[in-house]
Amino acid sequence: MKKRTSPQSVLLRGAAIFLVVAVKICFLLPIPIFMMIFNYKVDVSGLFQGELAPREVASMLLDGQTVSNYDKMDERQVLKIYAQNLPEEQIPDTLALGSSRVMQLNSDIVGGSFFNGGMSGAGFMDIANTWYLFERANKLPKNLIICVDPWLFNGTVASEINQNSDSELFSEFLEKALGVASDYEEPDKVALWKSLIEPAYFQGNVRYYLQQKKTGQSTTEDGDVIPFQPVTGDISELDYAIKFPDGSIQYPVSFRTWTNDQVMSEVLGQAGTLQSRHGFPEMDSYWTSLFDSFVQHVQEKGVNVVFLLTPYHPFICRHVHNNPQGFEGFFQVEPWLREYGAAHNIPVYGSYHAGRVGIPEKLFFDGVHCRGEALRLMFPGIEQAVQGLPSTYEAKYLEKYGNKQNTANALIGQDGECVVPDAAWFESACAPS
Amino acid sequence: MDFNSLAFLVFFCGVAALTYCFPRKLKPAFLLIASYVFYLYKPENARLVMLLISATVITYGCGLALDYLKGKWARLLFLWSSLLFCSGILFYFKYFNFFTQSWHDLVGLFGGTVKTAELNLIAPLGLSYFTFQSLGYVIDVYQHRIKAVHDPIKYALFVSFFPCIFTGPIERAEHLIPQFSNPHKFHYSRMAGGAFRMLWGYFKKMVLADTIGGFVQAVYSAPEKSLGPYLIVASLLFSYQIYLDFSGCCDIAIGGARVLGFDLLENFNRPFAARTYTELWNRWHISLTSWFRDYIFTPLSFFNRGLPGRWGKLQGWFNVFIIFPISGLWHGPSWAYVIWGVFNGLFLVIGKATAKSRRRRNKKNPLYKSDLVKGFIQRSCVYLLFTFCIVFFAAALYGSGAAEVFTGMFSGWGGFTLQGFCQGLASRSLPLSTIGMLIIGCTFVELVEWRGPVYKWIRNQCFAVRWALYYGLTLAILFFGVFGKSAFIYQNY
Repeated sequence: MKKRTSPQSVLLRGAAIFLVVAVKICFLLPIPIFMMIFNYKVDVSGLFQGELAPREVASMLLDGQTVSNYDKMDERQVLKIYAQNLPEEQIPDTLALGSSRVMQLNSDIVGGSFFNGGMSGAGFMDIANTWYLFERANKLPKNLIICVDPWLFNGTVASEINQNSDSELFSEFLEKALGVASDYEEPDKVALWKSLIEPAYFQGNVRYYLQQKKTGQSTTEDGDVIPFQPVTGDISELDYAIKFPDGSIQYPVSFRTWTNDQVMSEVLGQAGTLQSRHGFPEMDSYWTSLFDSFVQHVQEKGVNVVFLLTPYHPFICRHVHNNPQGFEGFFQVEPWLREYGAAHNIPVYGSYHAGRVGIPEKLFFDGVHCRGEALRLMFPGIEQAVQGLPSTYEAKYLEKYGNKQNTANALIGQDGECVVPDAAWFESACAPS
Repeated sequence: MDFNSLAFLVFFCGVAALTYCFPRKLKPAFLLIASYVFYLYKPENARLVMLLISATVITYGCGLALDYLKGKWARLLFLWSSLLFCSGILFYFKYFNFFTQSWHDLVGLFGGTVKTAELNLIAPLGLSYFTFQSLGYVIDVYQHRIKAVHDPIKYALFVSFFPCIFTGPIERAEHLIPQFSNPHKFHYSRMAGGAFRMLWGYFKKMVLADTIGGFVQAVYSAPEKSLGPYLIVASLLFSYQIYLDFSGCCDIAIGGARVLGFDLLENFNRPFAARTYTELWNRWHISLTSWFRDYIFTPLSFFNRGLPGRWGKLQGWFNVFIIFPISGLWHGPSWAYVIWGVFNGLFLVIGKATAKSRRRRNKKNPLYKSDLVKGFIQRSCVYLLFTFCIVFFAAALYGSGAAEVFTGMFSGWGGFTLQGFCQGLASRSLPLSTIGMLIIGCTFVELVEWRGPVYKWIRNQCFAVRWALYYGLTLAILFFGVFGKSAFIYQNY
């Protein structure tokens, strides 16, 4: 008679078989694990760690190195990877956001641990995106310096200004940070992580890795040499732009040493349209409202906000003052910002009007970019700024004239002259620290 | 779902794991669902799934009718109904445009004009396989070789069994259907052997066949740009590529079925070890060749009966010959495939006709005193003849002209240098390092397959060798495999 097997013994046998097969399959696991780690580490297409060239730059910055060829960098990518890879212990106390007009702001001027997240031609989207990169990575600073450029509120040229910004990231910021409805769609993370076990991607990574080993050169996926190198030694005479580990930049010596004629020639070119920002009839309500939401959002995160208004060349100030048609909105921005700052307890430093903050022509590289020394004049350092203490210039001015009106509450364009309260002090203030 | 896709691997692992969880009685139903999921995965198949279903239903019904009916004419009626239906859908979807265009060209050749309608038809994948499989079943039932299958699920599974629906082997009802009633119990060694065979198939396809394929495609897609030496090498390599491609695919199918607890028919038996052309065709695409033998050659042989000696012989040769143009047409609606078949048929018939005299002369051939030399010469001749025919096949596959390829083979020999030739190979995706890898890989394949079925061979190895091979093959696929670029060649037929 055939012996019947009980269901329990069948199940037990099945489980045992399953276990044996599973264990044997596990013997093969080192291969996919190695593949995944290799794909993630090499990541030739930058799916997980960002593109190769910006990754190199971000890595050097995080290692505290100064990097060459700033002008060739994809700044948005660099910042993205920088924020992503920023270790906890390196989270800066102070973060500055804005356009190239803030990029001379460095840790010496600001004080404490600082990172300059400015980028050339940044519009509101770039500023918000950069902030969001740090927020998303849960690496928020204690203080945020926003270099508020007037074009942030210019709706007429908004699409042109924001054309290079990451619109997907901005949509994510609107939706997730501000709670504003946008066309944001959750990225297909499954497809992304599938790449980790994608053999074709593995082969691309192996080829790239072997090529790197063979040539000893850092190249992009296409084999182009990555032009970013760490800079050491004397940097004063370098004829290429460099980015410091604190995110600030130094222009090439040929640009920094322009003669007055060269500067004025550039200024004349920029004055007519305020560097293509002509056509600013009024502050745009949409962008103003977004700016307001953004600032409030940052404050709600417990971050101290400071506004920094970097000046235009005195000649430009005078020119715009004399020819205000098409710049009506421009004249509205600074008073609105001061009012807004007062209402929201946000210190405002600097002014679009160079004369109002004591910045003479000689402290400009061109019509829109002032030197670091100028920033030192109008910004007291983050600790003082958070307490609302006056800048060096303000202090000296008040000491001399006892009238805060001109610096704190003046309307831009009312005075084209630069006020230098004390020539001797000015010389010492401009001297490198 | 392509065999060489990640989706298939995930799907297969899921099916393999679940299939052993089902009681034996429910297994066919589960596998039928899995087979239809596999078939419907590609949207273009989903639109044409009714063809598969109707072929299944009609041949199932005809099979039952043939089993019950005793009257000759009634049985013939059901036989021809299913034959006409299956051949009809095959003709309509695969050959309608080809024949109307050929008719148009033929009439045009004699100065006439004829209006032909070109239909925008896409043949569903696996059409040639499942129609042949179900046709074979009906003919078998008609000839009382097997009993009709009463269980519709088992029959539907036989027609659509996913490991072999797209690329074969073309299964026989008497071989596969009984296994559905009594599938093998789980056995680790059996499963591991099947899994290794799949791995072996992937290695042959993705590492060897596709690497050769890159070169062959570069040459054949623009033969006018390649000189004679490259065309010759590409043609020689294509013979081996198609073998590796198709046999690799069959290894995956057979190995996969084995993991699930079923045995499929073998489709290849080291064809290039054949010493004669007849032997080659006994070792190549065995399931199709035997299908033609059983369902076309054998019925045709009835006509030989009673014919006097020489005429009977001639009729026999004709029967052998005619299978090949039909086989060519089975591969695709193109005259190039038909010509490929014609030449194969001719070589086979000539081989048969001259066999005796050659055997006599071979005895006197001094070179043939050494069996090694004799084997080498014979195998080389078979390979060269096969390659001659395969040029038509490759030309049809890559959309070039066979005449252009053959004339091109004689060009570019002036100023030929080995160094320049090697540079040319490298520029056509075949650098020396790749050639080295191919030589090692192909030699390894031949040596292993020479020892017998790989799933048995691997189980006879010690633990260390087995695992070294698992790792070696997986890493070879990972490092040298061609991913996401080409489907299996025989999937198109």
